[in-house]
Amino acid sequence: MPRTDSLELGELTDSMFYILLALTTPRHGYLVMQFVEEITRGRMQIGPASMYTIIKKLLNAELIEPMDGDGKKKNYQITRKGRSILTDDVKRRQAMVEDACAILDMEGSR
Amino acid sequence: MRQKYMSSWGLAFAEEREMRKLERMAAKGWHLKQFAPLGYTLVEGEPEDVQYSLDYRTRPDEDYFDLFASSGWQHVTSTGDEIHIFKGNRDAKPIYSDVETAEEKYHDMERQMGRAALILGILWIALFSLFQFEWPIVVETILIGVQLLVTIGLVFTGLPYIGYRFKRKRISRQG
Repeated sequence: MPRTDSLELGELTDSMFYILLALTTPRHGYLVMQFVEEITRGRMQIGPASMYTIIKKLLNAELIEPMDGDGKKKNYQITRKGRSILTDDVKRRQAMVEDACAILDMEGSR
Repeated sequence: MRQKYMSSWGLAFAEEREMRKLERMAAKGWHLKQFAPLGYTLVEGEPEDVQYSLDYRTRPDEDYFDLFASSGWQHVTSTGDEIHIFKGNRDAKPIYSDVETAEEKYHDMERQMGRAALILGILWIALFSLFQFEWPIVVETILIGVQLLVTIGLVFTGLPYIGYRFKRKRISRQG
C-alpha cells in the first residue's frame, strides 16, 4: 500500500491494540471480538469487517501468526515481533497518560 | 415467487441511500436476492425489520463470512467475489467499528477505478490527437467509434473514482 498507515509508523490503532492483547492467548476471530468486548466492559465492540481487515494487516506485518488448527476456524497468536510492538505501544500510551495527568493535576491545584 | 427489479445509481454514489431503500423494501416484504445488471433483484416474502450493510473485499476466505455470521450479519449475496451484502437484525452492531478500517473499505476500489481512468484518459488524449491528421473516411469513422467507447469507459471509471475518493475523505475527516 502506497500510503503510510499508523502500523508502519510503529503505532497501533486502538482496535489493533486490543486485538493484539487478546491474541497473547491463541484465539479465533470471533473469540477475539468477545474478549475485547468483555475486558473493555462493552466500551469497545469490534465489527466483523474491521476485525477481518485488522487480522489481515497484522498477519502481513507478521505481528500475529496462524496456528495449525484442527477445526475449520483459524486460530491466531501474537508473534515475538507483535509482543515487542505491543509492549512499546503500552509504554507510549502510558507516557501520554502520565503527561496528561501531570498537566491536569497542575490545573486542578490552582 | 414474484420478483422485482430495483435500479442502482452506482454504489460509488448511492450506497447508503440504496441500503436504506432495501431496508424499506424489506419492511414491505420485498427482500434482496442478488445483484442484477445496474441494480438488484428483489423477491417477495414476509415483511421484515432488518438492516443491510455492504462491504468490499477481494476474494475473502471462509473466516470472513464466519465473522459476519457470528456478529449477527447473514450473507445475502456477492458479485465478482468482491462486493458483498449482509443482512442483520436492527440490533446488529455496525460492520466497521473504527475510522481507520472504515476508510480502507473504499481504498482498493478508489485505486482500481483511478488506475483504469488514468489509462483511459491517456488513451483518450492519444486518440484525440489523431484527429489532427487527415484520414480516409473509413478510418475516421472507426476512430470516432473507438473514441466514443473510450469516452464512455472514462465516465464509468472516472466518476466512481471521484465518488470513492470523496467517501474515503469524508470518513477520514470524521476521525
